[in-house]
Amino acid sequence: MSLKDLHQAGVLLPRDEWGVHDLHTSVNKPMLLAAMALGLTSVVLMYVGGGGTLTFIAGGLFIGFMAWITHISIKAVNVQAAQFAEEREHFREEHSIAQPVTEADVVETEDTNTASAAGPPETPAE
Amino acid sequence: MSAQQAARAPAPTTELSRDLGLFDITMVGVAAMIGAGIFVLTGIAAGVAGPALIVAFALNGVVTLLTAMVYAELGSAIPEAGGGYLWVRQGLPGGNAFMAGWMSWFAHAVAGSLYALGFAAYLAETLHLIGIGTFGVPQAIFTKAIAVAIALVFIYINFRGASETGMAGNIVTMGKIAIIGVFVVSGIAVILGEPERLEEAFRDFAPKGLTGIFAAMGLTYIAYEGYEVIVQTGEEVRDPRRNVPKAVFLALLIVVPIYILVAFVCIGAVQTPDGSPTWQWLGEHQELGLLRAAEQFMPLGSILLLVGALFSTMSALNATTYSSTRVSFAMGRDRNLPDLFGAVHPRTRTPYLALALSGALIIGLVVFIPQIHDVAAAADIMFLLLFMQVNVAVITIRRKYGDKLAYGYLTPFFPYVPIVAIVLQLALALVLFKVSALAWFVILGWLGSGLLIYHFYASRRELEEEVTPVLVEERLRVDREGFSVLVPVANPNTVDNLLGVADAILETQPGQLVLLHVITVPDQLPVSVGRDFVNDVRPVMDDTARKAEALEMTPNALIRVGHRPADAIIDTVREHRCNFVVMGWRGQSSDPRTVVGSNIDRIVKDSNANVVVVRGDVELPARRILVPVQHPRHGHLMAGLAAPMAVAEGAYIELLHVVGEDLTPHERAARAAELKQAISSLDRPPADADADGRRKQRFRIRIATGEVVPTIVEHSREFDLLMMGASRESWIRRKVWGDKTFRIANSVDCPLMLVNLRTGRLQFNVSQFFQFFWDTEEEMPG
Repeated sequence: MSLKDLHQAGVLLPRDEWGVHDLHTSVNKPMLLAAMALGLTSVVLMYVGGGGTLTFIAGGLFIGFMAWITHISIKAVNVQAAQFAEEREHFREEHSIAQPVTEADVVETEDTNTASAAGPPETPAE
Repeated sequence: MSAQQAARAPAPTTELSRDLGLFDITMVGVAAMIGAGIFVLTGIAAGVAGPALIVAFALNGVVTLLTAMVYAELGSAIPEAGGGYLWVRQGLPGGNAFMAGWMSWFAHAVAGSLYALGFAAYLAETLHLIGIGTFGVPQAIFTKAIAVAIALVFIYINFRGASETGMAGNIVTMGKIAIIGVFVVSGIAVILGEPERLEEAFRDFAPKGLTGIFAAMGLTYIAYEGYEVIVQTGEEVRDPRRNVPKAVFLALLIVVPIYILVAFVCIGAVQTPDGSPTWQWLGEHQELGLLRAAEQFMPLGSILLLVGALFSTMSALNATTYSSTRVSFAMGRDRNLPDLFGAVHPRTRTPYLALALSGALIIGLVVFIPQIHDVAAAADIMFLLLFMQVNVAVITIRRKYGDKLAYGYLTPFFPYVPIVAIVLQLALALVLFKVSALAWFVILGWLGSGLLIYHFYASRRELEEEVTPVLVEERLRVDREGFSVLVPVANPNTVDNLLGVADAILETQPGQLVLLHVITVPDQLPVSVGRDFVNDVRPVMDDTARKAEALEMTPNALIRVGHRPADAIIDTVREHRCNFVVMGWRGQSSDPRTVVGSNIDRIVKDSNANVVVVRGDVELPARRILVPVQHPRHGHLMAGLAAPMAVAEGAYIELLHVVGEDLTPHERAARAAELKQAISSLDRPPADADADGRRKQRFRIRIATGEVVPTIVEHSREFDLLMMGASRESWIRRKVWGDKTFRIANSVDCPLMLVNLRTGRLQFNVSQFFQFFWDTEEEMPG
């Protein structure tokens, strides 16, 4: 239940990249709204159709809605990946990072020499 | 008397191999979705919703899309075995994670047992069809035996590894889709040949109205839970940031239309022998409704449908065995279940013990499973509750960790999408009570057993896992249940002060003293480095313990190591169930984000103990103690704490209650009387009472009018010690009356003691729960 767990799972971004990436969705919202409107309308029409022709036309529309929303979502995944890569590249250019630090580079060490070099331990501030 | 404990070595990490691609995990999801849902539940659900079953399937598709978006987001950012359980662990406090895993494990296992039984029933039907029968074995026993056998087969397949699992699953799933395709095409051909049949079958479209539709939605919601299985594979998927969210949407695109078409064909292409409505006829045939429909219009209907059902139940069994294993594996790895659940086989790299135990659960349920629609409803409710938790977790995860994760997909219209999903899922779960009250009772029983296990086992394991290591523990007396006062020893110059206060507190109630020194290691270094510094801090601790013994206290000395002193202090409060923490304070922090100071703020917030913070040199026993009282009812607690600190001859404690000038004399007198009443039990004759029994007044009550801060500051000039209480809220939220506390603290010159009295356990837990959502995660990983 902490950053430590996420760190151990290896899913955290390198620390210097925290806050760098945009958290706005890459889903095309107007398209999504239109698709959802189609989906809900088709469900309502299926019911209102009462088992008649309208019901089956609406059923067809609903399947179209499923295909459309899947297309929108998969496109959003691709856009998100491209956007993420672009943000990372931009960030590295700005900070002139030649060799990116990855999670694999962050390893805990038992090396006591390192500990000594870091100086004596701190005592509680209060 | 001395015991040295080594810092716990970090546990070796276990990883699964990344063998699965987009196609594999899409098929895993499809396999989980096209199983009992189509072959078993279609007939039952048709009996509930009528021809409007197609609307129920479509509407379920819309509802499930909302949660699918959330799963796509979290599955891309945190692709680990465990799925929903894991995210609830990250995103929700306390026992939510355990309960999510506990529900998810059971839900997948019970679904697996359902599929095993379904397979057995269809195999028995097949054997009956080809004239073999049951070899003289009673039908019920024969079916159970086959179900156990097929469960064992898939346990073995899952043991072989992810690639074999995926390959087997893909073949089975493709075969199943092909047969359903033939079923749908045959049905449509019949409908096109006789269009009037369609009109007849769909005439009474929603015989049970919207209620029937909603009930059918609840009953068949399990059909679309395959995205939960997809995300379980996250740790074994190549490029999970792209593949997991894509697979979630692709699987739904394949499955939702299939369900609608199957329902359409079932109802539209069947001609009932007795002329009754088709939906009613299907409902009467229950789980065999689809088979009976296929017999009417599908070439080699019985055989193909039987083969399809066998494929379906096998692939669904495969998928649910897989996911129940992964959930219990993740729970074992997170120490919510015994460690053996987290073991990975060295050759196959599969969680073989979690698999064996999940398999045992599936087989146990196969043997003792009750009626089919009750089981389906129970699994539905569990998945709905799990999904609700995940929908809450996605909000907190985005808030706490969003800027630190690499998302492959971000839910649009956040957080409205998960909020709407929660409302809809809650409604569906409640509707299921109408379908099966028994299912709700089973759920409540399972949840109750989970709560007991969490309380008596998992929560303690969690605590063991999280605590900062103890390097040295010297016990003169161990009594973790009794009264105790914790004194963190940081500065040798303030030790006498703190011990004096602790001694005064222990005067009020006999108990033990816990002395703690925290060796703080920088974030960049492992905590084990702290071991090198034990000998440096031991003299301070020995000296403090000697001083405590001189005051006739029984010290229990601890040396812990951690990255943050507050964590070590909080852990010690929890472990020793300390009633009081006595700490030194140098004065208000310049950091505007803190109230008292970063360490004290955290200790006040996260440990349910009375916290006493001392500033300046307090000479005890004091002669004159001023205790401002915000309300007469607080007087008893504060005065009780102050009483043993003013035992010298002629010493007194003044309780000061500042009121507004608008109070009438009569109201002021009433306040004074109330205050006097509050402390009446404390105002006993001291040891130096006059021989004639006349009491010397130890407590004085003063009702003053005016502004609170200047009045208290003015009065404090006449006193040796100012003791102020503060509610928990005021410490955390400066903007409440805590402002006054710290304005006073900054204005007075005399020694000062701030006391934060602990709340009741329930109130503390509720406060912690809400605090979890309020806080953002700023700490660095250690």
